[in-house]
This record gives sequence, C-alpha cells and structure tokens, in this order.
Amino acid sequence: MGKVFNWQLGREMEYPYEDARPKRQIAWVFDLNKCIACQTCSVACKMTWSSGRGQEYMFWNNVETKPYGGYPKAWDLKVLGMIGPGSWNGGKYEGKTVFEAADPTKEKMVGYRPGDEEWNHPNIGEDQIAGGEMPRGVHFKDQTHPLWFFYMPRICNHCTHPACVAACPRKAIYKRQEDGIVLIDQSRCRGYRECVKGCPYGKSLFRANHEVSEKCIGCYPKVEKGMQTQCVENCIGKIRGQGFLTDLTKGEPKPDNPIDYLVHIRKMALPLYPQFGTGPNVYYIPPINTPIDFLEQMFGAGVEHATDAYRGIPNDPTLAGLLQLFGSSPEIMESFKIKNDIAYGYNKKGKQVAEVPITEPPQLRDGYDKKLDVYRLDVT
Amino acid sequence: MTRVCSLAFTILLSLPHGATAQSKGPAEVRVVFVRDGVFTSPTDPAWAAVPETKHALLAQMITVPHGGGSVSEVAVRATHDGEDLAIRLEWTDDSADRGVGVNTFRDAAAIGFPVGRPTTAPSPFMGDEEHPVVIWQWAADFDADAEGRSRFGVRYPHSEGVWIFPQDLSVRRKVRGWRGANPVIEYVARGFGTLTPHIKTAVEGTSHHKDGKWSVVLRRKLSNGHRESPVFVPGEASSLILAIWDGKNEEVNGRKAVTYQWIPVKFDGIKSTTARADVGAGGGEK
Repeated sequence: MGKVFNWQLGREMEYPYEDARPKRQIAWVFDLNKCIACQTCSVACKMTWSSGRGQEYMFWNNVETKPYGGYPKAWDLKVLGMIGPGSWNGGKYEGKTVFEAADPTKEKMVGYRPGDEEWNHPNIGEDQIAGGEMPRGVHFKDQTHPLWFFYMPRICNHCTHPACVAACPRKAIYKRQEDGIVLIDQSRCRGYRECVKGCPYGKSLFRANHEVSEKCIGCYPKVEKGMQTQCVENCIGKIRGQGFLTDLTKGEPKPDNPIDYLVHIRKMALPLYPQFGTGPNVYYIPPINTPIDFLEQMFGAGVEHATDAYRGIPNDPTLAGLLQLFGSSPEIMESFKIKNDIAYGYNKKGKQVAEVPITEPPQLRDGYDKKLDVYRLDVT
Repeated sequence: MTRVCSLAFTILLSLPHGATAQSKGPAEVRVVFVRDGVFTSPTDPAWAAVPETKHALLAQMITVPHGGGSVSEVAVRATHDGEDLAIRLEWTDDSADRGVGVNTFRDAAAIGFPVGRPTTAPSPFMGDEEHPVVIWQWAADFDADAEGRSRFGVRYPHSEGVWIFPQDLSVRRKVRGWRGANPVIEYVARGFGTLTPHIKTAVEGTSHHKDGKWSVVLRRKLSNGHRESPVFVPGEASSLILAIWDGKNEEVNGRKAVTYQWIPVKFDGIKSTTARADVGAGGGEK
C-alpha cells in the first residue's frame, strides 16, 4: 500500500498503487436543484452502449431518488456501513476510506458484490418522501424543507484513485493518461468481478454472456473529438456541465474554466461520498431544500457554503451565466466568459460554441397574426 | 486385544498407497501407456484399470484475493499412447454449477505444467517471470458452447431464443470461420495476474457430472507445436499443479483450491503390448 494525497479528504490516504495523475482529468458538474428524473440521460446512455444481450440490467448512467432509492439497492448504505462512521474536522476527513477499512491480509478494499435482486429494481424508492406524511395544504416557509426528496443522477466517477483499478488482480482496468477516463480492457478482463465488488459506487457491471465486466466509458470516442458525453448532451433539464478539472498538485485553478470555477474557486460543486476515498470526479451542486445534515453525509462539510452560494445566484451574474451554459452546446466548453448579461462558452481551441442570454428577453406579440390570419390565444 | 490392534495399525501404516499422508511428498502421477488411442471420455470403463493418485488441495492463501478451498481432494489418472496425452480428474462436488450470471460462478478445473525443461522449478503458483507455466482450464460453462447452448441461458433460461443479437454465440457459431466451441482454454502464465490465453488452444476436454462427482478428461498431442509448451516425452518425467473451483461458493480466479507444490509425473515408455492399458511395472523402451 502506498500513500497518495487526496485533496477531497484534505489528507494523505493509503492506495494500492503509486500516485499517477493523468495529464488532464475529465470532470462533470450536475446541478441537483434541476434534475427532474426524466431519465433521458439513462436512455441516451443505454441506447448507445448497453442495449445488448447480457446488458439488460445495466445502467451505466442511472437516476435514483434520495433518500430511499438506490441502484443497486441500498448501495450507499452498505458501503457506508462497511467503512464505519467518520467526521469532518476543518475540511479533513477523520475516518476510514474503503482502502483503509480493509484487512490488508484479505483484500485491498472493502466492498460487496450486488446480486441480481439488488440490480433488478433500478428505480425503487422513486419519489418517496422523507420526513413523514405530506399533509393537505402544507406550506414550507423555511429554506430547507421538513419533507423532501431529490433525484440523484449517477455515472462512473472516473475517480482519481479508482477502487476498480486497484481491485483487478489482472490489471485489466486502467486510467487514461490523456483525459483520466477509466476503462476496462475487454480483452484482458476475465470476469472475475473483483471490480464489481471493489467499486463503492456500484458502477462496474458484469456482462454474463461475455463473461467480462463493463462500465461507463466516459463516451471516450466523443471526448476525443471534444464533444460532450451522451448523458451530458442529451440532458433535457440542462443540469450537466462537463470539462477538465485542474489537478491542484500541478497548477492553480483557472477562473475561466467552468469546472474549476464551480469546484475549486466557488466550491459550489462537491464530490459524492468523498469519504470512500477514491477521489470521484463527478461534482454535485447540492439541492437547497434538503436538510443540511443529510447532505453532509453525501457531500461532506462544504454543503452549507455550497447551498448558500446557490441561493445567491440571482445576484451573481457569473454563476448564473455559467449554469446557463450547461446544455447549450454539444462541444465541451473549456473556458467561458460572462459579458453584458450574456454567457459565452468556448471549446478547447478557443472557438465560441455557445452564447446564452442570462435573462431571456421578454417578447411582446400582437393578439392577431396578420400573416397567418390566426388569433394568438393563451392556453390555460 | 491391545497387542492385536497395535499390530494391525502398524501393518496399515506400512501399506503403500497413493494418498498424500506419506512424508515423502505428493504421490507421483504415472502416465500409463495405452494402445489404440487414449480414453477421451471420462466415463470410459477402461479408466478403471489405470492407477489413480489422490492429491490434497488447500484454499489459495498466497495472494489476494484468496479463499476457495471447498474441494479438498482431486483424483488423477493419466494415459498416453505415444501420440496423445489424456489426463482424467475426478473430484466431489454435489452440485454441477454450469451457469454464469451476475452473481453466479461456475465449476472449473485446471492443470498446470512448467514450460520446457527449466533447471529450477517455477513457482507452483502460476509460474514466475523467468519460468512460465502452461495451464489448461476446463470450466462447466464452456461446455455450453460445445453443446450448442448459450452459456448465459443456464442462469437466465428466459433469455433463450428471445432475440438475436450479433454477438449471440448461437449466431456466431453459424458464421464461417468461428473458432469452434472448446470447453478448454490453454493459457501461459508468468505469475499472478498474467494469465493469457493461447491464440490457438490445442487442448480438448470432455466432462461428466454424476452422483455428486465431476470427472473431466483433458487431452492434447504429446507435442503440439506450440513454442511455449511443456515437454511430454515417453519415458521421461514432468510435473503438474492442480486447481479446482466450486461455483456455488463463488470461487473464481484466486479463490480456488490448489496444490501447494509440484506433483511429480512420470511417463511410461512406449512398449509393445497386447493389453489395452499396460499397467504392469512402469518403464519400457523410450
């Protein structure tokens, strides 16, 4: 076991391999205040990559309801139970990661391998409200609601210190140097399913007819061409942004890099279950109506700051504009600019690929359209 | 009374038998010379005349992931006819686990041999960098290919015949040039995690499960032209290692029952004989 620095935990931690950082790290930001669980992302991914025989149960991208949902069922509760309790002390995690909680004579990380029954109900717990019954005529006055739920879209996190990479006894999983995407080499994999057991997020899935394991590939053929992944491009709610996150050990975060701005500078997007220790690279803007103590378990100690920042968006044109850029271009935006109430997004080469007004200008139209000879009616 | 008992006990201990209780190490596997072709089926009654050795297996605890060890013993018989080699394994396993599913594993068995004639023995745990081993693995789900069934269909019977996807094995098999269904894979390994299949497996196998026992025959030509190959020469010695996986205990890769040391093998020389299997004293001309 070596030691690597995990910025999300604010400390060093054990990891079975030496630290090997990619040149660029792909990263995503999902705004949980906007997800409506339409599952378009799940369908886009499934139709593209996992619609074959043996993949029927697979959702490389899934959307689950929190707190009662999970795909596989109760995955987070199980892994949290395995690592035991912990606490955040000034940004530093005091507790065990999945690697540290393991007995090194037996295994490299704690984990479990879900069975058919745990995969079989991907949307169990959908829309189930936490906090009690919903009485008739209830009205919430407070910022966080006593009755709540939210939707949680999840993909492979293409972690900085992946548990799947560490779990494979054949080194059949690797993290790409050029963009940090983690892939299972289908010719090396022999279907041992150690990765299925090792990934704390349950994002490595076994394909029984081919006897190999599969996972989200980060739509790498698209990423290589500077295009967004299928789940990001097809998101109807425009909740997803994608880009490359600056490695803090290699340089300073750039304020015009959308992901750097949200994750490192404004700290409004937080990693999911950072206490697992794998350094996930999908960052979430927490839902502002969910009680803070629940959010802290999922996203760490920065949730109060993140939700405050989100509430301040009406007075923050940079944040408002940046979130408007989500879903406004099929190309990955590596830099952005806000000017005169308009948000501009630029691709890797600096070419403008999106231009979005922050406030949609109001339009007045006549009640009678002369050209078409119709009356415009409000539809109620 | 006590004197008689202790005398009987002494006699019992001194009788030679193939078990591993002796302090001399694992029993030697004798590859008996047979006439007119080796016995390809594990249920061929001719196997009964071939001497059997039993070998203890232990849970693999050398490298992570470890575990397994549900099968504690395997019985080995071996024959050759100067051209082909056939090795028969038999072990107890009351359920035939043939299906592979999301969380289901299959029964399997493997034999390993050192490549070439190394002066120092390779590590008995899948070889090492300098000393590769060749491993033949049979698995119960591979049988499905040979029998024209889908591997997938054992665990998920409702998927059979439901729809055709280009990668369906049943379709692939009908495509010209399909490699063929073989329930055995031949690998080379140079230590843990390095197992790599040969481009062209030159080993065949047949299996049978009855009355709570698996029996498997693995066979190949004594010389099959592979560059990295064990040396099988009539009249000479070799060695082998064994591994067994029991699918219902979720055994796969390192979670297996293995022999912890090389088992010596001695090939009979080629003899002129009228017996089908010449199990008289070993040796004979080379």
